[in-house]
Amino acid sequence: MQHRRFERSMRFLACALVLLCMSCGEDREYAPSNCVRSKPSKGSLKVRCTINAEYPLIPITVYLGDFEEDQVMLRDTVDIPIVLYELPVDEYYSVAAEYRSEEDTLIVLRGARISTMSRDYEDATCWSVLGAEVDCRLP
Amino acid sequence: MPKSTIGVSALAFLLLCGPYPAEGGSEEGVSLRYGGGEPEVAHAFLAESHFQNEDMALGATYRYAAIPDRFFGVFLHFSARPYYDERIEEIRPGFRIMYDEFRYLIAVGIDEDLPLTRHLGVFLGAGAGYTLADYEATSRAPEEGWTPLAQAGLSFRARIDEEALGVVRAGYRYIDLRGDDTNWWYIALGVAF
Repeated sequence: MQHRRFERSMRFLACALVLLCMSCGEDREYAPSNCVRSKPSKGSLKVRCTINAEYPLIPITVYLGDFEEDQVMLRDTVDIPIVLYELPVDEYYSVAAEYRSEEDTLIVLRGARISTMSRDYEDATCWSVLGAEVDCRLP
Repeated sequence: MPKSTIGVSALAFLLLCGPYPAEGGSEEGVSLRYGGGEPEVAHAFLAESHFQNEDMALGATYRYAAIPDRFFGVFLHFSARPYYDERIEEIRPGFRIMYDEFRYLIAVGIDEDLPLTRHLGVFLGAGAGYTLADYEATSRAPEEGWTPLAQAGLSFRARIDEEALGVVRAGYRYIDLRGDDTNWWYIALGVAF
């Protein structure tokens, strides 16, 4: 029984090694025509919020880092449910959407990171931006 | 005597004094034989989920049969909510903040599977866990801490290999993940070998 288990483990290990070696092959692809060769400096942050008769205008504040760090990147008041902001890449942003009524104030706080990624080709390095999206809609 | 004390005592009694499986011979000293003719197994890996009306978590449990011939074992469990969930905190009267919370649980405990038929059994388990959590976009931390864990339900086992059994479990789990409800449904799918 132990011998059979050992044999199975060895077989599994051999398969894993073969798969690993296959993935180690050299990438000889050339960069596509739409390749962005320099690192982008800005990316998009999409903010969704609830706009209705009770809340026709929503104040939005975007912070660099956590909300408490109080590094305000922008303030805006929106009257549409989706807005896009262009902000520096490779940073984490906190977004506060403020829903004010006569009785109380509800801050919907969300966070996301705008990242970049690159891929090396034979003749160039191509860059792309992974934009961020936060959903500040009311539950 | 409070109901909770009676419940815990009953669970402890069943875990320690529950019936033995139908056929209990062991050559290796630490094994499970669940019903006649099934392979001896000491280890089990389960992919699990506990869920309730508006929340759920996915996780895994490793279980080791610590007492010969019985599936009386110890387990190590990890689970996490696979998404951020909304939590509203009142900062002061009339001012609330809605956060995105991520939460996970690490737990250990003891567990026993009491066979009813060759394939069907009842499982009971108890332990303790620590729940950790994080809010998005803020340095403010959600409540974390210890929680008791208790679980019970039905288990089904069937041979899937010469040396392995497929295991399905479904039942109830009690854990306090600092939400509104501490009662969860529980399902698990795994292999014992």
